[in-house]
Amino acid sequence: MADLLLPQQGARPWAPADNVTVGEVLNEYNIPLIGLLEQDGNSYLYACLFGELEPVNIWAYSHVTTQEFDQLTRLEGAALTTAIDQALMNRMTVVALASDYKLVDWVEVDAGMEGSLALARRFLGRMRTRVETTRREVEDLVSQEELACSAM
Amino acid sequence: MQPREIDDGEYVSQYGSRQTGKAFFWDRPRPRDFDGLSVMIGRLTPEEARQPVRRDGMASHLDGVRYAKVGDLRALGMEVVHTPSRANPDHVSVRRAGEWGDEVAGRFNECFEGPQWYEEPEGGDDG
Repeated sequence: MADLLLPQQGARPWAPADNVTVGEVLNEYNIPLIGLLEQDGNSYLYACLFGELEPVNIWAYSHVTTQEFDQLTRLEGAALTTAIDQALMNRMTVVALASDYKLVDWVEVDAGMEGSLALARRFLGRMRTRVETTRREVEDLVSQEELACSAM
Repeated sequence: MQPREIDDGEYVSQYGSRQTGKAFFWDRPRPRDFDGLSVMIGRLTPEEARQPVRRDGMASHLDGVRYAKVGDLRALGMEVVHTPSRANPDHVSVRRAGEWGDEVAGRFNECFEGPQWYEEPEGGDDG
């Protein structure tokens, strides 16, 4: 979809591509945890879904409407928390894995209303399936006769 | 949201976690291009310290907090500044100009008492 954020491998989770304009940081704890971005004229909310203190973490990038963007730049406290939660629901969202504060890989996830931890769990399920599929495909290739000689 | 002065006699709380299996409190900036760490004004409970940091879930035995007197951090040459945000009005930045290696990290850790870990209510799920 055209309005999904396009991340880059190796980019910081809070500045996920060379062509993003970093906006307001809504929450930080040692690192930016929640904030606003723009890419190609679209506005996005990013949020660390899991691993806020840990070196491996999961991040969501959600396209927000002009009205949602206005709320996110104006509200405080519990109202802001609610606006952030709502901006992470009911839409296609890019969910990414970061290691050592660099983006490693990501998938598109259809975020429902389940909340951050459940979204993170669903992302991990998708990533595990992808990794296992890739590993099987690599093993299949390695076992093919013509490649097997050079892989030994 | 206006920042305020923080007195040397005030305490700050640093949130920590045992999520990865061992107690973990940041004692230096990571990644390296950052010059400071986050703490919060006051002596917060583990549950209170978790709330502005973790997006979801409930406090558990994995959540902890430790406390430092602001004057002790400043005596190390640290800058301790109230840096509130709309999501976390009690946020405080602890910054240091120059190298923040093992020696500084050790002295930073010595400023703190605790940690205290969240105690599950009786009959609760301790995971």
